Amino acid sequence: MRCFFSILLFLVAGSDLFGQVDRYVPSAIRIGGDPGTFGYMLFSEKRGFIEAEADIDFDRLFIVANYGLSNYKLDEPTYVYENNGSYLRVGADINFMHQDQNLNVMFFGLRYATSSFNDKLDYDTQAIIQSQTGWPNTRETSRSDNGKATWYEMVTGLKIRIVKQLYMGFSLRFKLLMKTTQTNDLRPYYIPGFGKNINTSSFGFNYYISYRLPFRKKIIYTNENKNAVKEKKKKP
Amino acid sequence: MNEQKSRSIRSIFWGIVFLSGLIFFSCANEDCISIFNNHLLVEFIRADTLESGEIILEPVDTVFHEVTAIGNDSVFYTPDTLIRSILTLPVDPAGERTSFRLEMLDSITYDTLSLDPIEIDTNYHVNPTPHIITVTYRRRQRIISEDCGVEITYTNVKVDESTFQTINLVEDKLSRLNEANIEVFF
Repeated sequence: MRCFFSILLFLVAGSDLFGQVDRYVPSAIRIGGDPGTFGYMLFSEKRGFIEAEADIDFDRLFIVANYGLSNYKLDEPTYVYENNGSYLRVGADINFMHQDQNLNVMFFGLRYATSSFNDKLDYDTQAIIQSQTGWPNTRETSRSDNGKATWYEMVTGLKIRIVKQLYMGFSLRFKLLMKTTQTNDLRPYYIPGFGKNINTSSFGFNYYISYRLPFRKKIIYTNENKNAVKEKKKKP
Repeated sequence: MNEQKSRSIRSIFWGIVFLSGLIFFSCANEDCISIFNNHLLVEFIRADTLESGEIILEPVDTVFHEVTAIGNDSVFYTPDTLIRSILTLPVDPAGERTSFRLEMLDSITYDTLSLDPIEIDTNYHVNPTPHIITVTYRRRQRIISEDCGVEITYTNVKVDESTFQTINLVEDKLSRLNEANIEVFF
């Protein structure tokens, strides 16, 4: 994480040394959200979430952050599991379509993500997997407050300009879980933003609708105009 | 030129999306298998001294009049239960402390009531002082999968109380793979 910001600082600060101030001064911020929220709201009894995304445009590089709120519930005959929490992802994307005149984005990026959550499990002591306990069945409760998890992600996706400054897109994520901490003896089954805590890796998919708010006109450095822009800058 | 490059990048991108989708949807379902249970395995061992002075430890078959857990109506072992050197004692899945009461037999005598038809009455002479073993443990819960449900693991098993003279904890986690958790020396 520290290394990532150091590289970023170097890029931003170093840009002036190479005489490309315009290129690495942010040109816009894009703010959006995941409309998949509404799909889960209507069709899923298990999962609900709200996710917002913002990115800052540094020409080929985008600084990205996502923040989300999540709830997850499994209501089965022998147990009920509930999980509520929030998550934050920060990272950077490289745009492979930086020469596109419509400012469409096809990106690959890395994220550092963190999540905090509370979860609770009500369960029967005689369940499917351990039915021969030799004791009468009772309902027990186990809860874990202030659980935390951290993971890294590799992300790829598209952001396509639909109309004026409105963009639609999606992200495909490969997530690698680094650490989970819980305050009790309940192992979290679900981690907000990461998904099911069954394996140390998982895939994720998000749709996004976002709006681009430009700070200034973005110069598109195509192969054709690159030299022309340099010449223009040299003139007093 | 740029258009061509853009097209090839798009093709690579959609290839990655397609392959990722295949990996995503080809995840295998988990089997509902757990190696953990709530069975405390208590092994009875006798120390014999040979003429040479060497001490050998041997598992000893033991008959119990009754083996129960305090707070549970179930009787785990009776004199009719097959004689064995290892007792399987289920700890309370709703608590973190279980006491077992082991009623030992001093002797068994048989009275013949009639010869034709043959009718024998078995008399169990129960030792008036039952043995008690109390263990404490820590429970941890996890959901294996939505279909398989909850798995409870029992760890940090400790002998809290025992009326046996020598008792030894050999494995502090309850599992199907264990041979014994506690050794009791007669």
